[in-house]
Amino acid sequence: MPTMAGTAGMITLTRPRQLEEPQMSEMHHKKPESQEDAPLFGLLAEYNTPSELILASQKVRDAGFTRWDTFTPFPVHGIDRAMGIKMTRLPWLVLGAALAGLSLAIWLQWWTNAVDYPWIISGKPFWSLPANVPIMFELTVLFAGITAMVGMLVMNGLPEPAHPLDLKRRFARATDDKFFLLVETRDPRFDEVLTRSLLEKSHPAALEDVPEDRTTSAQIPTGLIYGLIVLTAIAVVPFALFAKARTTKSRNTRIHAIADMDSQPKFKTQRENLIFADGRSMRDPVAGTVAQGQLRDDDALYLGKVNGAWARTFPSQVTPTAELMDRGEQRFGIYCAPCHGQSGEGDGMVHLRASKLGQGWVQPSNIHQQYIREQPVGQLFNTITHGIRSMPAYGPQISAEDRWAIVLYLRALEKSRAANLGELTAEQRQNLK
Amino acid sequence: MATLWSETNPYLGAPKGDTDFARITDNVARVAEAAKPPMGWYIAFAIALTMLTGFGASLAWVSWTGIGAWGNMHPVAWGFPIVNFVFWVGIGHAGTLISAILFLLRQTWRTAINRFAEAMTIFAVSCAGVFPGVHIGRPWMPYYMFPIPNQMNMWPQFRSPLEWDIFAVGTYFTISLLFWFMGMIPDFATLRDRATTTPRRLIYGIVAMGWRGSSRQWHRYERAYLLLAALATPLVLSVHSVVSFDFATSQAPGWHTTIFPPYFVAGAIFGGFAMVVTLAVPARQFFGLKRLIEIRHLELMNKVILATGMMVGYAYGMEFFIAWYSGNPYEVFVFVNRAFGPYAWAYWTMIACNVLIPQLHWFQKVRTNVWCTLAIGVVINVGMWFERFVIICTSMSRDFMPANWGYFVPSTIDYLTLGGSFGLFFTLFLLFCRFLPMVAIAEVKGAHRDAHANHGGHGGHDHSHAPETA
Amino acid sequence: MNAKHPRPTYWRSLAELDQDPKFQQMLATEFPEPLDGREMAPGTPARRRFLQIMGASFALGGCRFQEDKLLPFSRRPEGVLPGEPRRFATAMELGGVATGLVVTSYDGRPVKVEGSPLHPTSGGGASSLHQALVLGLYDPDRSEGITRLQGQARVAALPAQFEEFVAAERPNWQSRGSSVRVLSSLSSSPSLAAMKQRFLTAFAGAKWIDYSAVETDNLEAGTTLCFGKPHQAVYQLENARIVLSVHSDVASSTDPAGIVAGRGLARGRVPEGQPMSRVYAVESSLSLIGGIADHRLSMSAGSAKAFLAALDAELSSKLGDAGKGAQPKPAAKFLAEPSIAKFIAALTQDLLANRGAAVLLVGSRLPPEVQALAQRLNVLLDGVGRTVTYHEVPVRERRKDALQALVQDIQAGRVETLLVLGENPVLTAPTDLGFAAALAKVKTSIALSEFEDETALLSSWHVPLAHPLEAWGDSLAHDGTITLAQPLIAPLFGGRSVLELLALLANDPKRDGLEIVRRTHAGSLPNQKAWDRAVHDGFISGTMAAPASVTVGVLPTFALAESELRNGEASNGKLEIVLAPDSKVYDGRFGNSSWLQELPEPLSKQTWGNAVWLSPGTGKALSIADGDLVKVSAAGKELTLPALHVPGQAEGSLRIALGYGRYAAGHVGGLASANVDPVGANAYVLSALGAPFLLSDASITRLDGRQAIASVQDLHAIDAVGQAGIDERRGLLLAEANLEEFQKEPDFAKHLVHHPPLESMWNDPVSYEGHKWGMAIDLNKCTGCSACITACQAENNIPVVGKDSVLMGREMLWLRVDRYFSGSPENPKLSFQPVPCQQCENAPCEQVCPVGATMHSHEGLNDMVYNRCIGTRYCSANCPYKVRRFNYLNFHLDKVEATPFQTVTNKKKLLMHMVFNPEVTVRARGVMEKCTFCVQRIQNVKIKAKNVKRSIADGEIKTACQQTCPASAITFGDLNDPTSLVAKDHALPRAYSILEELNNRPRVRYLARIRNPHPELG
Repeated sequence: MPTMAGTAGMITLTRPRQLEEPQMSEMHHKKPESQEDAPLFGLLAEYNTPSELILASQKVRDAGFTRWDTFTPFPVHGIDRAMGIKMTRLPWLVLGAALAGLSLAIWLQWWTNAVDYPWIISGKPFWSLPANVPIMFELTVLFAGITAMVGMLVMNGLPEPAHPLDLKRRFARATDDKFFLLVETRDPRFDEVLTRSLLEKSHPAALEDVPEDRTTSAQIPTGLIYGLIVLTAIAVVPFALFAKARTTKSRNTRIHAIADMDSQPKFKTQRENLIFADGRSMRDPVAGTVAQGQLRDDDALYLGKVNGAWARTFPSQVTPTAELMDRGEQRFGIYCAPCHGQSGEGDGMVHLRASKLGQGWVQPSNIHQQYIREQPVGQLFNTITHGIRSMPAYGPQISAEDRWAIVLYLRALEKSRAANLGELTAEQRQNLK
Repeated sequence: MATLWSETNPYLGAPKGDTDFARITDNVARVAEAAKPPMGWYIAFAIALTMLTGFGASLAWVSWTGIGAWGNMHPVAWGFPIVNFVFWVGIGHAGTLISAILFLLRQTWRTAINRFAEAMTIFAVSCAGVFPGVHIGRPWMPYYMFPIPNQMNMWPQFRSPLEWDIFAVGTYFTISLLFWFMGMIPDFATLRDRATTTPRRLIYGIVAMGWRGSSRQWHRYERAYLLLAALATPLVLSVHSVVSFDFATSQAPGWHTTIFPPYFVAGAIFGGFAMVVTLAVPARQFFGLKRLIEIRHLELMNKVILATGMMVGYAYGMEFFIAWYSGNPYEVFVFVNRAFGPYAWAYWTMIACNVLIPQLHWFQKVRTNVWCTLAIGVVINVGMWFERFVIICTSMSRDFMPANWGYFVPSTIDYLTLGGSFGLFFTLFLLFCRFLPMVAIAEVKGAHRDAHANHGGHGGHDHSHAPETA
Repeated sequence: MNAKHPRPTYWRSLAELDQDPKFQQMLATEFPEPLDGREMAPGTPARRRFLQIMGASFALGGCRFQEDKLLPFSRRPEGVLPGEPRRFATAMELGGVATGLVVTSYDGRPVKVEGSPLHPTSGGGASSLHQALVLGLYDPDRSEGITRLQGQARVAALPAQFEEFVAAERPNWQSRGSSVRVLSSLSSSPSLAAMKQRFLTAFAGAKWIDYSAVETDNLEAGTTLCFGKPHQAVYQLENARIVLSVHSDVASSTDPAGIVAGRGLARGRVPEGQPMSRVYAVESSLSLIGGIADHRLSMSAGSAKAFLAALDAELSSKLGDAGKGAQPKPAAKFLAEPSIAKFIAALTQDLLANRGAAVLLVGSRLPPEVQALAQRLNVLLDGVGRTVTYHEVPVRERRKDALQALVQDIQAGRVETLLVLGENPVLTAPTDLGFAAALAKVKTSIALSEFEDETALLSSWHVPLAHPLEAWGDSLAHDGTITLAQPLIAPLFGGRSVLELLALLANDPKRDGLEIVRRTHAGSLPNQKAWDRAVHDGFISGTMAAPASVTVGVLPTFALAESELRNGEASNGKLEIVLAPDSKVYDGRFGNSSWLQELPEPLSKQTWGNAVWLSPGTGKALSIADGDLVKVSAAGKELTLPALHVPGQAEGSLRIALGYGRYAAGHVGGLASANVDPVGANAYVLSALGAPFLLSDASITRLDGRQAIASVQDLHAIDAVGQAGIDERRGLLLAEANLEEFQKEPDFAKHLVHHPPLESMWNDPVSYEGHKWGMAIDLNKCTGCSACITACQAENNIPVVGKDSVLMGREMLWLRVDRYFSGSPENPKLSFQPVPCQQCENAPCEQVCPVGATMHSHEGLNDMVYNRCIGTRYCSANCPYKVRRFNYLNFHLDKVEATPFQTVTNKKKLLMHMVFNPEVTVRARGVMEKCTFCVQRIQNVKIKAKNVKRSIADGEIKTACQQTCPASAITFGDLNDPTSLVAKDHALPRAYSILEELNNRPRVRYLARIRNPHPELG
């Protein structure tokens, strides 16, 4: 027909799939059986104007067909009524999504800022709605919008890669300037003769049989499959690396591209500083210097001496009290007991272990020995401070007050072994019986 | 320019086809189908690409040395980057506005320009989206602004308008993108069916997702489109309101203003339309779309520009009035300082570009002259950029305590970044013109008088007067 | 809002007042060209060269997490607990006067210098110079070893080599002692005096010169003139009702007694209860005391003589003391000017009315006769024993004569060996002396100095001097108290103290600093205990000099030179130049301290350099604008530097700060050998032997070109509009009133701004039970000395940004001291307002931060979470006080290794890092920071208190700024404790908070400034 002639060249070029073109069928690795004996899929009527299409549609609708459709380059006004299409349920879907978005926004802001980690911000309450409205609105719209789009596609059965109509060369103009009506054979009311005459009555520009599509293979092209496999493989690589990193051991520190403030230029305690020969950032105090509050000019308290001799009484600053005794017991437990043992007999855990290993280990003194019991407190204090024989000095670790507390506890400990009945009260003796 | 395409341009000359519909199709589709665009396109693309490179280079330098490479200083902590951000977000408004609001108002003339107005929106918002990320002091951790569950319970602080921005701009970008893409599905199908080469057929085929124009699909499609439009309309209005909250909720004199949301939205529409005409005029000339984008359409847009321009002008005036009326010395000062202080030059540039020059549109001769339209469009874009500059830099340079006052001077990097963002914008836009349907084919057909059942018959050749819609 | 009280109109810089066409033009151009051609892209390595030295190189060190080694003590010294800071009393001597200090040592590394609360004179206060000591200690430019001159080149030498050399030379010195000269820095150290004697006996005939780069002779000469013997005047300003300062700069860091004076003045300025003192100031340029003054008279320094003579005549006649050395009324015309006449009249009246409670302070630059006159009046007004005491000081050869003799001897070849001990005469000696040339003539010259400075470069030997924090020493405080200095750390570069070097040269059996000092005080501190006590306290108690009873001799009546009879003649050839030691680099010795270089000069707010100050009137008359490059010339000597209009500068009087323009200071202050330009211009080139610091008959001419003055205030021109805005709001931010106004309405400050009732939409989320930290700043006490700024910088690891960044307004100082002028530019009133973070309860910065990097603590602190901050800078935008500072560049940690700075090895960077306070995060680039109320100090005390289950006492927690403030203008503490000082201050009627109407509820309150004018002068 004349109208076709003008655009025939164009159409033959642009037909998506061509029976005449072998390379098309080669695109699909599995060769389907030939198109000739393909059964009828439906009847396709072509119209030049929307109004013709609408008239035709009304006829088909009135004839009570259900499995039929029209195809137009643009939404034709009134076609819905002419075809008797019912209102879609999409809006309800969108409404649901909108509400979901709204509630998510409320929950997110409430839980994060008011529950999980509440902040005092500008003297405002942890939860007050006004500041949260904008995000509530935005999430509502976001959810609704995405649902509208996706819902439309899904309900329309898109994406739809192939359709028998693709085989009809003239159908290409459905997206250009022609209007088509398709009645499918699957329709219960379909009767090849009656339906054809029904359509002919609507004076289509053309009326054609649409055979089933036998050329397009149903299965996914192998190229695509391989492509997907490769992509998945690549996608897995990073995760594999993470997994490896987590399971294998390395001498390197963790990867940390931008240091920011994690590694500080300042010298924290005990850090390295290569300026100094010993590599220490901690420096020894200069000899002879006296720090504030560390002027230890009270011999009794700091040396345990009273004009040259070992003090026999506790210094004035130390008053033997129950608290001091407890403190002393506690300190003793921490610093002394490991070697001297809880009861001071020189059988602490360290000693037990060391003597088992037996490498010239000297047993810690038993503090209940006579000569120790008779030592003045000052001397005991001095021993703790500077150590004796293989016992190290504890002066640097234990404050003077605490050392005195230990001395006090020691005395009590000694007493516990060397007490004589005379020192007990009546009922204590009673209890002993 | 004429020499650039008159002989070589494949886009010119009468479109092929035996019906109006066919001619419409061909007129739009041939642009995307042309095997080789004319030299003009390549030159423009080369320029845009160069600017884009500058963008990348400047941002790389900034992230390497620190944002001190820009002119930002104390007290003007927000300099060009935020000015650009607000500017681009503003530009990004016309698109969705045209496609959504005008759609709801059944303004069929929108079909001529909505497609690349939407495209422009996407690209403008992309430009805007770059800035919040790179303007921060530690550009490697903007993700702190997203609510990502973590073992330290570090959540964003949802009272911050900047946090609102993240959601507003993000949502706006997503919805606009969906809107744009959805509109293009039927046109992709057209391009697919007209495709002459396998790659084109494959690519367009994939993006068309097997659209065949079934009326049952059209039904849901239109419903979804309507819903999106209905959702996008308040969104458009909200986005720039939220951006304006960045300033309106602060305490700084000149920022702390309740008029900001409507004022910003009006300004955005104003600037957005200006950008649309700035792009539409060359496009229609260059790509031979005169038949689709008619003078009538340009004139209508100019009317919108005139109207919104006067709203903006009103806002400028009202700010002064309220400042005076409030009797707050700091407020009063900031506005007097705008107009007569060290930054007066910027203020008066803004007034001239946004309030005075657009008044020319009162004259039909100007409105209907493409070159005047173009010129005024460009001027307004300049003006709108300066509006943001004035609001941000002028206000901050002199706030409460005079001991802090300073004078912001942009660095060369600042200019490079600004220019570069235009590079990004035009690169994307030129690619769009080259490969995508610049006009909504299906919608134009739908708006054509032949599209309506009530008067059938064959299509005439006359496009001069508007098709009626029922 | 409208102001209720009549307020002075405030303005900030002269750019504001006179609408100079240059400014108009500058404002007209959209973006003014940078004045010194700074390029537009900052952050490039070149322009921040010196910041590399202030930074580290590991910011991008590899892509792996940096490993840290732990190196504990194998045997821990007693009393040392790792990570537990210890504090040591020590001292710093400046200008021959010791200031008692306490240095915080963290793991044996000094990190913070503070005034010693125990010490009688410093009493806890310390100036910026003292506090910057610690930065100087870790200065990588310090010389690392002995060098000697071989031909033209300097080559390193081992200590052993030097000692061999000394051993070889010693016999010559002993035989030809007369050929030995020692140029030692002026010192009051008893040990040095003893060592001097040993040296002079060891090398008979050797000569000893006490050298000082700044003026020190006049006061002694004056007192000699007045009392017959040189005396040191010690003022008790707290006892003075009337204070007259004549060109004195007490309260400034350059005054040895600055801290004492500042405290004294502040004590007298309390408007509540006690009577408030009244301060008069007569001066040629603005000074800190001029800022405090209730009445200030700008008058050229030259005319001070006539002024005092007139005052003397006036008082003497009234006191019936005429004849006894009283001066005749001088015939100076300017005295008849009504303003000055009225001033003198009111002053005389006040002085007479307050006999026994009045005191005159005279600047050290004024000639001896004037000094004598002032002391005479002090005696006359019964000040002795009340407002001033005198004690004798040893007689010294005048600087002028000594130097002249020295150079003559050298020229005559009578000098073979010259020791320069800790001084830099090549830079600082008057140019007409020709010292540099002379030095070259000396066969053996040994320069002992911390840096290889201008003098060291020309000396045949350079020996590194031990830093004050590395050496034992002793010296006398302002009141004569013997103050001991103990080292905080072993010398980093094997430096020797002056004592140790002299001991080596003089072959003293005792070579160790400790032993030498102990030997000196063996008498007063016989046993170890006494010695330890003294070292612990930092001074020997009870050694304060006994006040001498003085009798005023008859003063010769002096004639007045022509130049002394005129005042305020702004014409070339008749100008006077005042060369003053700088409040930041002193005589130049601190030129390489980046803290001090970037510290805003209290009055001009200039950083990084000096400028010639001139009055607006003089500027107009000679058509010289702010920032113009000018040539200053006097007696044939010239100096080129930028001009700076300073209100209150006397007409026809120029002021230039000394100590700049150094070419061998270091990478910060200028180092020719490394192509680092000097900072500022060297004003010593103008000084002459005859008139070293006060030059007359000078001229100033404009050169083409301008130079940016990196000031932290008024960095940019203020136009008429801005001016109007400032006039309107200054009085709202800065409450001021006269005494009687205040007494009429004590709470006037609260009514400056009228606003609706401040109510919140919500109930407070927290009620701040427990602690509620707050601060009060007394504007009446603040002298503007800026010591607090350095204290803050040292305590909080605040970076230095460099001149270019300051020019861009990117300085990082957490604590600003805003400076405002009011009144006439000729005779302005000064107001200072320190502005730390206001710690608002409804902090505007918090609600705008998208990541919650700044939020409120339950004690009401506005906390900054550096690691959380991503740098949106929104908080800064929304802070009405603009107290937040942003790290636009990597100010601390420099990542660019390939720079002009490759000379600086990583080792040097490690050295610099030792100054960081380990208790405070060092902020990286892209992070916002601000005042934290020294939260680390708060936490430390809280932890200590909690460990022993006690409550925190008021005043136990001191912020760095509060601790160092000599005037104790800052109080800090718990507002929940009604008895705490800060709570009381907040409750005072004159307490107010700035921008209260915004309802931010600041935790910082200001106490309004009260002035006490004379009713006549009003």
